[in-house]
Amino acid sequence: MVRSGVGKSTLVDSASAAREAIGRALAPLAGASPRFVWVFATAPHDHPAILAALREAAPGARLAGCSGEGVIAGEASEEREHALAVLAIASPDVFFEPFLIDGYGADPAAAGRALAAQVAAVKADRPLALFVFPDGLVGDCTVFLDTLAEALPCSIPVLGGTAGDDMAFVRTYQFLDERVASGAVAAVLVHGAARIALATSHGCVPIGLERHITRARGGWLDEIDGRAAWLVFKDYLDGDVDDLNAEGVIHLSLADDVAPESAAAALDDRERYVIRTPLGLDKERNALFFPGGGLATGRTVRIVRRDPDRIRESAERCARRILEAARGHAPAFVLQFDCAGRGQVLFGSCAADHIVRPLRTVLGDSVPWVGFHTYGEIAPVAGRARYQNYTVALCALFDDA
Amino acid sequence: MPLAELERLRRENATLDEQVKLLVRMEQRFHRARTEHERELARIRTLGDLSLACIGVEDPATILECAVEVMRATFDVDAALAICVGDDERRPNDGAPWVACAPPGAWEASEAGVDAARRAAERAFDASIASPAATGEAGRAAHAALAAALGLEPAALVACMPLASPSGRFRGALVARRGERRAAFHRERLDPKHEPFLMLMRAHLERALESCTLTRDLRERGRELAAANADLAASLEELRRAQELLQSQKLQAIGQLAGGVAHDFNNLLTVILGHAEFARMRIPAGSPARDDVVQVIEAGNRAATITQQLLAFGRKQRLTKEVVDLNELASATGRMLARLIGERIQLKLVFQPDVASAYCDRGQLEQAVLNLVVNARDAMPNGGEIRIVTRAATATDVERCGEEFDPTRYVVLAVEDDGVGMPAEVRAHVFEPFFTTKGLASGAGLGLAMVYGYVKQSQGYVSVESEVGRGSTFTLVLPTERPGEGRVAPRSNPAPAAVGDGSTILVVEDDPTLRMVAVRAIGEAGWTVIEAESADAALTAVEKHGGVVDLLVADVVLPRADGVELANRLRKRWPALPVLLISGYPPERLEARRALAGEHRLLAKPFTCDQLVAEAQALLAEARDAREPGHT
Repeated sequence: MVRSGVGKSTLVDSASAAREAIGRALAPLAGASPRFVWVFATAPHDHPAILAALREAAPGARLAGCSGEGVIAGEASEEREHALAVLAIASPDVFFEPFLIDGYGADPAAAGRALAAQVAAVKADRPLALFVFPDGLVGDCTVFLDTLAEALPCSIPVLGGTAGDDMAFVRTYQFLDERVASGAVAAVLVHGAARIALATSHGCVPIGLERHITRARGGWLDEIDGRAAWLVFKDYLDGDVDDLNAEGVIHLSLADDVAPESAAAALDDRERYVIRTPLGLDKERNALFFPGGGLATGRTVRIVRRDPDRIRESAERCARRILEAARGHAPAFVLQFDCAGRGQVLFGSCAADHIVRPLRTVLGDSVPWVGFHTYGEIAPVAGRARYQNYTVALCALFDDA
Repeated sequence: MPLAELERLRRENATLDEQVKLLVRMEQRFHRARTEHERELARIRTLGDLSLACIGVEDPATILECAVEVMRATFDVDAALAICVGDDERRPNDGAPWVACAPPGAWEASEAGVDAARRAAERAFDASIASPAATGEAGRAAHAALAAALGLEPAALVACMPLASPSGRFRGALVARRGERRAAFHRERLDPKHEPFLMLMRAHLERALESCTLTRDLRERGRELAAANADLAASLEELRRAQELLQSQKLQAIGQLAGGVAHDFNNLLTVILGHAEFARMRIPAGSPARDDVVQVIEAGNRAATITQQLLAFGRKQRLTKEVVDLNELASATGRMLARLIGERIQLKLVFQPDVASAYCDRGQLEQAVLNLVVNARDAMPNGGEIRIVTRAATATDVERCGEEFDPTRYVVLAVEDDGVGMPAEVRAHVFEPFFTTKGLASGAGLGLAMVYGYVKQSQGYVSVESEVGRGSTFTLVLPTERPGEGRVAPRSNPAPAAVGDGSTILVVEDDPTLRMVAVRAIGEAGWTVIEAESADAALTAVEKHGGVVDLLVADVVLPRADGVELANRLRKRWPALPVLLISGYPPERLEARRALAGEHRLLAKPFTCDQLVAEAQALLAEARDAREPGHT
């Protein structure tokens, strides 16, 4: 049986925040020692202090997680300077093997292979899922995921999100036990007697005609349909916009058509496209930078706009898909990796009402629930783990297997 | 497909694409406007919250804490610091400014950090700068200087808002900084467009700090006033108690005077009435002289009534206490009073059904009710309603009476009227004897004095409430029956002894005129009389007489040994000797001498010859019954 508890703190002092959060998370375990603790914290926190305090409070537990633009805990979405969310898990039948792979920023393919090797070394009988939290500011996540998928000893769902900071785009952090790294990948292999259900949704609406990337290199998108990528974007932006921080930009992205050509016509937007968002602008070249890689020359894309109403509806559908997989059981816990662009920036102070509570209403208000606001979401689409933006990746674990 | 058709479709697609772009741009404009609107609302709400949070706050630090939190929550700032150097010039702080920082500890909370911020704010204040609206070359230079004073880059100092006191002096500041690394575009950057908001916030803060001073002043003043009020209330209470004591002492003094006068009058009246009786008996019927004597007797009786009331006021009347059912008494008295008060006045009885019984003299209580009702009647020349109320005593009665007693051991009989009421100056004297507002023809001014004296003598309390034009309420608070205080056992009435049955009666009275009346009345009734002016003389006379004395009639107060001592000495010789004590003093005085209770009969002065003879007859008969049981 899986016992789990969520704790949250918005205290500024990191050690105090950790003590407060873990104190709340341990309470529902009824004295059972946690085997593993998920840790998600905002970037300005003193992470070593957090991890030290958590280790002190839960000495036998492994810790893993990363920094986020904000954290999700219970029904709350906290996008503030100092926020911390933890999920403590005690279970004799479900196992959590955390990893920390350095050098992701410099060589994502090597990181993918290294992680696959470490996963293979675990020799898990029933691998359920591999959660990955790469640095959100460096590294080609697509290369990492592709390499990982090829190197893994078996096919298991890979999901998670890239680590973030507080929209400063300066440095993100990955955690393992008491170690804090940057430019790395934190990962957790979950295996054992349980079931996993996954779902994703983005809620974006393609607009305009299909377009083709005519020049791209190293994450930089130079041309779409033979025209400078930034100028293509500007056609859809109101006013005299000259940087990516303009509010209009956050409503505009690219949809990368990832479906096989033969099946494309039969798929809906969710299954066919992954959303990609530019986070850098080269004004001289009018080129846009898309972190995560994958947008190569020749790919078919569409401009998409975000629709706040559709985001909510789409998220609810996502939760219902998990509910269908629940077979009448309540999830032991749920992990939510949601885009930093779908929180406060879109919904203001009531973001949780749009992106967390509707999901909990479907899956159960009392389900232990934790997550963070990512710089990129990772979840399987069209048969492969893909780097995405403006998306929610939802994962529920059921211990009824 | 023909080329023309393809071209048409391409043009249509291009048009649609343009329309889509337009719609997307409009949507962005709408979203931007909505976001700005929401932020504006949030700022207004923030100001409102700030104002609400500052209401009634006495501590400036609390206001500063609210202010820095508002600044940090509203804008994309790393830290906000608020300083208040003092309430204002009227109440300077002791030098240490109040400081608040959000998040706590984010600003260098050291002395140097705070001092630097304070100095910078003072410079901003002197330069009339409220950054970030530091525009113009001079403004930018001043802003840069302020930032340098705080150890910040100019861009990092996003707000330096000096605060002024109402008199325009520097009072403090709110400063905020933002590090270069932050670029949280979803949070609002503080920039010159926010100057109106900052000015509003500044005004709110200045008012809140001033309100803080005023609130503190007000509370302090309130405390002073409360203390002064308490002192005043204590003084008034002391004064009231002193007045009550004075009034009580005054009434007591008047009572003693009245009692003393009444005692002397009683002696005189006994003589006057006695001799008048003798004269009446000697004057034949039909003689004009007999009518004169009758007039003297009647006047004497009226005078005796007055002296009785005086004694009542002086708490010196003889009371026969018993358990009195107030409802029954009021009902019975009410029936009698209905005729007395006339048709224009309604008498209403308001009874508490289960009210406890009082322990008092029933006859005197009836008289008291009569007096009060008559008084109420006279206060209602145009008619109205008189209410006789019975109920249990309450704490309110304790308060109104101005005395300390346990209300659970008392019952109330109140008489209320709708009459003309009394002003305070009348109310203050209403219980004094001979005080009357009715004129000499209407009353002697002894009715309420009797009520007062009676209730006090009954260990009760009296209060009066009255207001001109709104009637009066007289409340008699009477003790309830106490454990061990049962009903007064009715005295058996043996057949009176035959007048002139040969018995010998010893009469001892130091007043020769009174003694003469008593001796003559007893002698004329046929008994043998031995008379003496003192106890010693009485003992001598008894020795000289040599025979049995059947009854001792003695004044209580005699020179040297009093009547009680004489009775005791004679009872050593004749243990069953009946004793009739006569006195102008109240029975309590005798009871204090351990004499009267259950042992001796008392005949109060003034008495008539008939009363004396009747008492003597009764005592002799009782003595005879004791000696000869069954004799009738």
